Amino acid sequence: MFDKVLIANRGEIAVRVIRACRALGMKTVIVYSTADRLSRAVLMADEAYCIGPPEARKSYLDGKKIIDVARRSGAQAIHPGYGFLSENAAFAREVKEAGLVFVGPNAEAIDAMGDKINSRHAMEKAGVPVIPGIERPSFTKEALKEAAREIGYPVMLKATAGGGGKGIRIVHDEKDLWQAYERSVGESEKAFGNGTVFVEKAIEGPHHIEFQVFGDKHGHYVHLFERECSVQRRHQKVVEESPSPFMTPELRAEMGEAAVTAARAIGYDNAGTVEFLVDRHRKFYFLEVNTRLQVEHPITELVVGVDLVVEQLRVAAGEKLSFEQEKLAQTGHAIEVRICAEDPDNNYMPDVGLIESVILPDGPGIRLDSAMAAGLEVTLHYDPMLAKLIAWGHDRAEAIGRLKQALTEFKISGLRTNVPFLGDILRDERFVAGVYDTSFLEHFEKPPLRQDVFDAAIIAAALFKHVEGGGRKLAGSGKGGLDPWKSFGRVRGARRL
Amino acid sequence: MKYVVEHEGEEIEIEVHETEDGNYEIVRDGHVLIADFKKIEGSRIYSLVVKNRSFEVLMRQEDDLVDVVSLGRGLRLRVESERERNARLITGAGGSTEGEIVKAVMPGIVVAVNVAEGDVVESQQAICVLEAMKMENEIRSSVTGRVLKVAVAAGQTVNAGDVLVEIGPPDEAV
Repeated sequence: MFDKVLIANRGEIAVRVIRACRALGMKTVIVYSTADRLSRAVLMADEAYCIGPPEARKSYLDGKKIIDVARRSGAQAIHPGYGFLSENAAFAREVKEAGLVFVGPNAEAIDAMGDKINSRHAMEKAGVPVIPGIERPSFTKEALKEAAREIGYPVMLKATAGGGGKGIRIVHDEKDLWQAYERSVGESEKAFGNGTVFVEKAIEGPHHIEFQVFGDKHGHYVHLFERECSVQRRHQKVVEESPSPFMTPELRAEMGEAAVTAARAIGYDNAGTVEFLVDRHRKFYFLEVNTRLQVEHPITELVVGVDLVVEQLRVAAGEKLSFEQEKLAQTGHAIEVRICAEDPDNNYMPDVGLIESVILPDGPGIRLDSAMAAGLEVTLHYDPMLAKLIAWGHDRAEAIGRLKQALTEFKISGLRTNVPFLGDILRDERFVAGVYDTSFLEHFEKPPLRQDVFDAAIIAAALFKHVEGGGRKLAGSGKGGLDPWKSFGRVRGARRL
Repeated sequence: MKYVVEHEGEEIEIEVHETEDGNYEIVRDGHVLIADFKKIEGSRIYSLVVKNRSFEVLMRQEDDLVDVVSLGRGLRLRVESERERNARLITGAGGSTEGEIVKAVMPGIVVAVNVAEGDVVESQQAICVLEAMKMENEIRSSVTGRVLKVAVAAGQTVNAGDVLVEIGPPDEAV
């Protein structure tokens, strides 16, 4: 095993990896940008090296600097966390060439899954179901009809060069097919200068369900069951749970096998996630493989009773997988919510500023993965996620109850956060019933407010005004002069890409 | 003192009087309540006890809006003293007579510029789109006025503090 590990990340995941290393008795080395000098990870790590300015490109994405620090500090392995360099095959190669260990899969596996079209072909070859589709430079009327019939209605027409929803048409009936195709081609030509349109099966009422997989360097592969990630806003996950309330034992067995087949097909040798779309008839289709530790890994850890980061380190060091498929089982239910500094009432616009104080939730079955602390400045340089709050219960209802209570207890002073919004999701009838798909947040409405809570809020607001006076700066951070955060308040309509 | 609390268009009048023992007498629709209201120092958390019901309330002010979080639920309220409200109604609703220099508040790439020099823009009108932090951010004018200068073009990289667009008063000759 390693004596010393470098963590090439920041925020809560850097803290998570430090915890795992410490639990194994390893020394930790953190690299940081000037914006993160006082972050929890820098305070916790045994050694800390500043590698540049806040811009990720000049710090957390600068692989050469990071490898140099690993050499200088005597670290034997680099854990990339998620994001930044975690799915960068070139970096994984450079780490290996420097005589160090990349805590993640081999570079070839990252490469194989990095490209959507290649990975689709690889999965098709391995027998993992992919979304049926037919691609041609152009279609004649007859060829198009035939293609759509072969795939089965409803079908999607999608621009090959696509993006941003342009050139996309859903067709339920053959009689609308040709007209939709002509429009789609026209739109694609206009938007991308390329009129190639392909036909794909339309997935109705899609669920985003992913399987945690693990492989080692000795040819062993397992899956650690599913995570339901259908509560999304603009393709960013907000709430994740395991098991999925949509899952059946038969589907789980089938999908688990497909996930392991996918891992085996690319010689996967660390923690990874196979993402699927599942339609309302419970047919599943391969989407992609995330070749890294996933943000939402804690729900799997709680339900399966494993430490995925510790296992990552062991496997990277060459040890055999410590778990066998037959011995893995799901116990109870876990739900995770992502705490972000943002305003759900204003298009999830990120908020920035000083965390003045925090009251952290606790109690049976509660886990908090966080890098948050009073005195921490949240800046615009990085993702607005502050923490992940996870609840475990013997069943789903207990997990929801515990998580709702923990969110009520959680108080972050100084920043606008999505904490009340997350609680509202957990109060939603459809969420409580476990009947939701990826369109959940599009139709989301806040549950009604209890009259006594409303009355108390009105009185509190008037008293707040009375006590604190009319001073607009009251709630400010006390900075004089130019206040960029205030002008940032003018930025409206933030949209996640 | 009288305050007007507005929530989704509904206006609620609240009268606040300080009592001798450090509490507050609240008058709403002719009903009188005694409220015990204390701040937890070093935080933005207040404790409100009304008729022995205890509420832990987190508050955050931004301009004239107050975010209130209590029992896990969030509310956004506009709170004004009666005097402020009257002053606002007399001078016209929030109309600024000054222009605005719109600056980039974060480094990013200008994705689109929606206005040209000489255009008249309304308050809250989208001026340009800035991509940063994996997000497209629509930058809006906070004033009604005329565009005096467009300092950037689509595709351009900007740093925090760079001027994007200058907006003058609506009547200014260009």
